[in-house]
This record gives sequence, structure tokens and C-alpha cells, in this order.
Amino acid sequence: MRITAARGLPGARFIDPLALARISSLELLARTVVHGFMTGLHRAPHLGASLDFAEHRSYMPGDDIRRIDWKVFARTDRYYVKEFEADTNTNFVVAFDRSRSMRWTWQGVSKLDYARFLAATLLYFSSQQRDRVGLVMYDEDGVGDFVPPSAKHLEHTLYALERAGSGRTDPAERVTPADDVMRRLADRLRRRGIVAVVSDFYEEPESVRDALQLLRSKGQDVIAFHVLDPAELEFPFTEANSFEDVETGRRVPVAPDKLRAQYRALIAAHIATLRALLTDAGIDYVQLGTAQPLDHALFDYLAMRERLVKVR
Amino acid sequence: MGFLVPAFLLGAAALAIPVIVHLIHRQKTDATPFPSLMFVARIPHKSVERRRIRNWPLFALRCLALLLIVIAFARPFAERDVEAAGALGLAREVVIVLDHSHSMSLGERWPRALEAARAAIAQVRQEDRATLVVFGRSAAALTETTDDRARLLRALEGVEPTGEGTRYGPALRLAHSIVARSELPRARIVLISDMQRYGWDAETHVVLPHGAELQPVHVGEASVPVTVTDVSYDRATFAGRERITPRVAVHRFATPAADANAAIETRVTLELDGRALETRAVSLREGASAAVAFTTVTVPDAGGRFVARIDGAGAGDALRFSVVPDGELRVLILESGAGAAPSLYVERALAIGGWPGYAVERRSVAQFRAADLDGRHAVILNDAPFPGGEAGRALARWVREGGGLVVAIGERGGGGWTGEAAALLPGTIGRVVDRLDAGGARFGWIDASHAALEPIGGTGFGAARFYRYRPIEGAAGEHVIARFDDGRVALAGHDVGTGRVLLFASSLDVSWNDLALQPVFLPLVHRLVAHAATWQHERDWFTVGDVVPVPVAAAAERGDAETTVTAPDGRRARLEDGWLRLEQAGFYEVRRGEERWHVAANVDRAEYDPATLGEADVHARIARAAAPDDATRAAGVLNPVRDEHWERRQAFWWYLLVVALLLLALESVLSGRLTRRPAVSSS
Repeated sequence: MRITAARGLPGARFIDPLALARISSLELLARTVVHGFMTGLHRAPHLGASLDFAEHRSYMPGDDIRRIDWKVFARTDRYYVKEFEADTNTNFVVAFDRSRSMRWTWQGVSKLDYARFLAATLLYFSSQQRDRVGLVMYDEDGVGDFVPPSAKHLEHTLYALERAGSGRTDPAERVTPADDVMRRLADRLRRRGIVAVVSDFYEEPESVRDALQLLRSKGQDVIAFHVLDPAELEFPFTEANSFEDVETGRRVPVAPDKLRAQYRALIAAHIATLRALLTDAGIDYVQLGTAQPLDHALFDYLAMRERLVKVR
Repeated sequence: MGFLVPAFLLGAAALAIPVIVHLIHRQKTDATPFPSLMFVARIPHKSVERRRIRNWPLFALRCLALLLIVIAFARPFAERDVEAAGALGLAREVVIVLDHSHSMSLGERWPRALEAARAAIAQVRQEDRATLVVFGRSAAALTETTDDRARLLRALEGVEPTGEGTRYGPALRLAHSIVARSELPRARIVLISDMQRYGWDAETHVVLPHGAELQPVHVGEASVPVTVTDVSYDRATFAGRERITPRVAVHRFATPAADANAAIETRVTLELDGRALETRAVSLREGASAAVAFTTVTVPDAGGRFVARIDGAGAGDALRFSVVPDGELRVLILESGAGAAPSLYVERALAIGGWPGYAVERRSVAQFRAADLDGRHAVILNDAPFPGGEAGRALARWVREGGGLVVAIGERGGGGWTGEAAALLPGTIGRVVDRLDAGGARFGWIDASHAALEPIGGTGFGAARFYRYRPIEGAAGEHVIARFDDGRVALAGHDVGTGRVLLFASSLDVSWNDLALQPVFLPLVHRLVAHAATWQHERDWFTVGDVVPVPVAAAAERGDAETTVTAPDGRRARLEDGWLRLEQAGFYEVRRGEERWHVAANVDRAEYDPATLGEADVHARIARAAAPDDATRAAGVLNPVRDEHWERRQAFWWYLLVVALLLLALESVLSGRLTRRPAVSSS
């Protein structure tokens, strides 16, 4: 199934983050998103989505009867289901940044919640693809909760995501560099797979690239989801005040009207640099705003999966 | 320390508001959380950091400058004890009183007076207020009280000496009223004059407010004052024309510097209608007078404008007088026709004396006709009954229309006084009183102030004896002119219509009395006839400032042409109210149709009197009002010194503003230098 980027899929209205925020259960949320997304995929007239056929296997009770290859039945009088390349089992691990900066929000859904929705959806979707899903949490203190990839660990991962909102809120005395985190993660992931890093990436682009390349060097395919609140991009503040870094606690007096233009330029350059460096490093980069529906993220993920499976 | 406008000090508190807000805002503890300041920190320090006060001395300089401006607007002043500090320098109400009487035009007095007035105006300060007052016989303020010196100088430019006399009373009372209305703490009255003593008459009572300073400025100078004080003349009629023989009185005033025994020679010239007739020399010692007699002059029929002018030493003065021929009074004597020459004494009395002249005719009552009244000024009904019939009615009508009637009651004069004739009399004619046995009655009371007798007074009447008389009964008190010694009315008179009637209770011959044999008979007959004819001698000259009556109402009723007056300077005006005010020295010409006459106006003779008052004498003639309170009296000020007076004198606000401006200039220089220093690098 070739995935092409599209917008306004039928059923995509359930992927609006504000609507999703009303769903208390992450599993239900993920299922809603994936089913709605997939339903839209199947109904979209332009998709012509196809997954490349890989092989047949004997029908087992419980398989989707729509996947029965009737031509083979006609020839053999036996029931065989089609196996697509996407059906190939792989590791899918979400590296989830739950640092203090991820808990910040200006209006609407916080980055942490948005990242949880995203991670849950990706995990659920991968689980539906019979991938072995896993999750690793990290923050300023380093690597936290780790759920090893397994076909049976979806619930564990969703449970861990549920608890991702709790944690320390006071400024950290020191921040663990991202490359340390990724190195430890890479050491724990023995099998090759896909690692989706969900973070706001408030580090120098080179540092982020170097950190994610550690995963690549271990054979992992990496996709970076750069989650930012629209206020972090637009800097809509008007009142002059001291601004406090939620991670370090540092305070700086700011006159927003005087630096807005410069700030926007700096963060736009940061995103552009990050995109360029990660792309050059063979790392997929997706920049998401917390007001954006999740279908964009899912499209990018599916496109990546398609490409990766082909290469494999 | 006090403030005139303390509300402005609130502005100082307002200065602190933005500073306090700035400081409070900086101390706000609620910071805005932000995920990461990695980008904010990259932006230069200046543009991200709120401005804070970095240069406290400069900030203090600015605040100090603004504070000084606020205090200046609040108008500070230092309260002082008036007695200790003295009133010097406080605001003054200044009244400049300038004498512009005729004497100020003599010599160099006027230029010195103008110079003194300009100097007084130049001393008017910004906090003072001044008024310019000019005076002669009366006083007037030329300006409102003002601090505008240019305005005072402009008003001074239009002032010139006049022909008026000098009276200090009205001028100083006007200055008093100006000062009394003032609220300023001090007052000064500058009196610029030649200080003529005669201007301070006994009725000049001036009281100045306590604390008002009087500064006399004497601009008089020594002179040789010889003046024509008066003129008199004998009048006579010759060949139908009037002639006068003038006598001019001259006087030399005493002066302190003069030698009492040294006589000066001077000349007096008599002019008629601008032509010199005769000049006479006269020698005068100091304080002496002389009468200069001139030869007889014929008066022009239309009247003459005479001038007696001083030439030589003490020259400059002239006395103008106007002579108008009076003509004769035409008198008709009505007799009863009985007796021998009953009017002999009356006729002879009227024939004696040159002025006015009398043209007398006699008629018997029986022969009297209305036509006999044409051109008559007076009728004497000499011991005759009132005419009856149409003649009597004509006579009564003639009296009411302006004629004069003198009635002398004797043996035959008591009849015919009924009806209209009785209404003419000031009383009723009583029964004959016989006083022969008593040796005759005398006049017991004479009203010498009555217009009929004033020129001759009351002397000489006591010698006359009256043996018989018919007393006048029922006469009103104001009509009684004389009484007999028994109290009965002897002579009474009153106006009837526009005419006049005099009633004498006895005869004008020697039948009932010996009045005709007394010296007083002649002037008495002259006065009775002249008074009955309403004849009066017109004054031949007036003084500048006098108001002369000119009858215009009667002329208007008669339909005569309007009355116009031409002043000595040539200005012409229509006279409507019947009063001519003499404002200039010279001849005023009055015209009514073809009729023309002159009114002579002269400077007050006393304007040439050099006697003056010294400064001490001036102050001695000024009384001072009591001070309103002890403090005012002790401080010697006019009014209690108020806060605004101190503030105006000290004017701290001006110094504060200057210092504030200097501080702001210094701040500008310093802040400019600080701005050019290198900028602080970003963190």
C-alpha cells in the first residue's frame, strides 16, 4: 500500500488533538485514531494504497477473510491469506521525552499530552501491524521507564505513557545530555527496528543529530518527531516580564515586543537546521505543532515504514 | 516657608508614580515559564532586558530639575515679620498728581514738571501699580491704575497747561480715593506742582491713609510777578453813544528774593478789539498796587473787547474785559393830574447819574393810552389811581409780559385797585396811617440783601421821616423789602408773569414824607426803577472755570435762531443747555441770529501769586488716617502685608526655574556623553 500524503481524510476529524484530549483512555484514544485513520485510508478514492505482496500463508481461524486469496483457492481448493511486506514483524520503540519542557503549554493541549497521543497512536498502529512495540522514557535525569519491545507489551507501553505526566516539576540541578540518553537506549535495543523519538529537541541541532546517530549506528531506523507548541514558534507574548526556563529555572527579563521577530527567526533557523542535519544523517524528521491533527504524523510514519520495508 | 499655590506640589508626588510603578513591576515574583530560553538568551541583552535605572546620579539630576519646576509653580515665599524686615521693596500703589494750572505755563515750570512726571513713571516697578492724575481747579484721573509704564507715558504726552486756577483739595482727595481702594501694602503720592500757597485755602482738608507716602516735587521758579488784578471804569452817554474811562489796577506780588525797596518800571497797554489804544508806565515796589488811569474811550455800538496788558518787567499777563453799551431805560411816569409837579423829585433823580441813563416822560392817567407803553422799560404810577378801562387792562397786560411797575401810594393813589389791578400788587393797600403827632415814622427794617437794594446797601434810610403812609397789608414775607418802625410794610415787591411790581407805601414827593430830601432818595429811585425794569449790570469779565448763563430757552420759545459759541481757540459749538463753561482764557463769541456779544475769560489772578509752600508746609497740611491695626501701624504699611506681597517681592519662582533649566541643560550634556559609550555585550 503506497501511502501518499493527504489532508482532510474522511474520519480524520477524530484525530483533532483537542477532541482527543477528552478521551481519558490512551488505548481507546489510540484505537480511535488508528481505526479512523485506516478507515479514511480505505475510503479515500485517490489513495490506491497498496502494500506490496510478500507471500501466502495458510489461513488460520481469526484472520481477516478479506485477505483470503480467492485465486489461489480456486486453483488449490485451500485457503491462503496474503502476507504483505508491511506485515513483516519489526521492533518499534518510542523514545519519549518527558522532560519538564514537554509539560509546557500556552493554550490548548500540552506538548506532553500531544506527545502521549502521538506515541500511543504509533504504538497501537504498530501493534496492529504485529510489530513488537516498546517504550523508553527519558528526561533531564536520564533514561527512565523502559518497556522492552514485544508483541505483548502494548498495554505496558500505554500504561507507561499514562504515567508520563507525573514526575518532578522543580528545576533540575543538572541536565543529562541527549547523547548519553540515546547511547544507553541504543545499548538496550539488541534487535534492529524503528525508533520514534518524540521530543521538543531543545538542544543544538548538532547535538541532536549526534545523539540520534548513535541509534543509527546500532542499526536502528530513526524518525524524529519534533513537537512544539504554536506559542514556541510565534512567541505571542505581550507583557514584559521575567521569563523562567522550566528546566533550569533561569530567569531573564524579556520585553516580548522587542525580540519577537528575532526569536521567530532563531527558532525557524533551528528547525531548518535540525531538518537538514537529520535528513543528511538519514533520520526522518517531522515537525508537529500541538494544534495539528495527528493524521499528518501518521502519514509520515506510514511513508517511512513503506520506504524502510522496501529497503529491507 | 509658604506656598501661594500649594496644589502644584501634588505634581511632585506624581513624579514618583512612574518610578514606583517601574520598581514595583521589577519586583514582581511571578515569572512567565517558558520551555527553554536557549533562543531568548541568544538575542542581545539590551533588547530583551527591561530597562532599569543604571545611572542613579543622572536619574537624581532629572528628578531634581522636575521637582524644582514643580516647586516654582507652587510659588514659594518666605514669611517675614514686616516690622523686622521692613516694608521696603513691597508693592506700591503710586499716584502721580500733576498740576496743569495756568501758573505751570510760566517760565520753565512745565518742562520741569514733565521731567519729574517721567521720572516718577520710570520708578514704577513691575509689582507696582500707578495712576496719572492732573488737576487745576478740579482733578481727573487720565488712566486706570496700571503697571504699564508705556501707557502712563502716552497719557502724559497729551497733557498741557490750562488757564485754570489751582486747588489742591480735589486732587489730593482723588489720590486718597485711589489709594484707599488699593490692596497693595504700600502707597506713594507724587505731587508735582509749583506749590502755590493760595491753592491751599482754608477749606482744603485732606486726609491720607496711614502708610501712604507723600512726595512733593516743587517745580516753581523765581519770577517778577506783576499782574493786572482788576479794571473799573466810569460810564457815560454822550451824543447817544456810550463812553468809558478805564482804570486798571496792577499789583506786584512780594517774593522772598526781591528787594522790598527796589521799584520796577513796567508798562500797561490798553487795547480795543486788538488795537493798542494807549500805554501808560507805572512803577511798583514789592507788594505794592497801583491804579493806571486811561483816557476816555468810546465803546463801539456792538460792544468792545478790551485788553489791559502788562509790558516790560513781569510781562505776560493780560486782563480781558468786554463792554457792551447798555443804552437808556425809558420810563413813563403816570400822574393823577392834580397838584403842582408831583413828579418833580422823581424826574430830577432819574436825570442825575450817567449809567444807566433814563429817558423819562410824564402822562396823566386820564391821558394814558396803551400806545404809551411801546418801548418802555418801566412805569412809575406816582400817587395816581390805576388806569381804568382798556388802558388799565393794557397796563396790566404789559406788566405780565415783562414790564416793570413802581407804585407810590399817596393822597390820590389808593383808588382803582380792583380786579385785575389788585392782582398786580404784592399786597393790599391799607388805610392811611397818620404819624404826624409822633414826629413821623422812620424805616424800622431794611432788607439790604434784596436785589433791589443790594447795590446801595441799607445805609441812609434811617434819616427819612414819614408823616403819612398807607401800609401794605397781606404781603408775603419774602416780598417785603422794608418796614416802618411800627412794623407795617413800607416797601414790597414781587414778580408778575415776566414783569415785576414794586409797591411803596408813601409818596415820592415831600407831601407825606421827607424821603425826597434825603441823599438816599436818588439811588433808591434809581434802584427801584432799575429793579422793576429787571435791568442788571452784566459782568465785564469772568475767570476760567466759571459757568456763565446764556438764556436760550426763552429765545427758542420765541423762535429765535440757535445760539452758537466760538471759543478762543476757534472751536465752535451749539449752546443748548443755556450754560457756557469757560475753559480757556480769551474772548468767547456768542451768536444768536444777528445778535452777537462777547464773554471775556481770564486766568485766575491768584495764579500769578508767587507765594508757595515748602515741603514741610505741605506735609503739615496733610492729616493721616489711623492705622487699621497695630501691626500695620508698626510696619508703616498701607494694608496688611499678605502672602502674595511677599511672594511678589521675593520671586523665588524665577530663581528656581533658572536653576531647573540649568540642571536640565546639564542633564542633556551628561546623558549625551553616556549614550556615546560602547554598548554592553549580550550574555
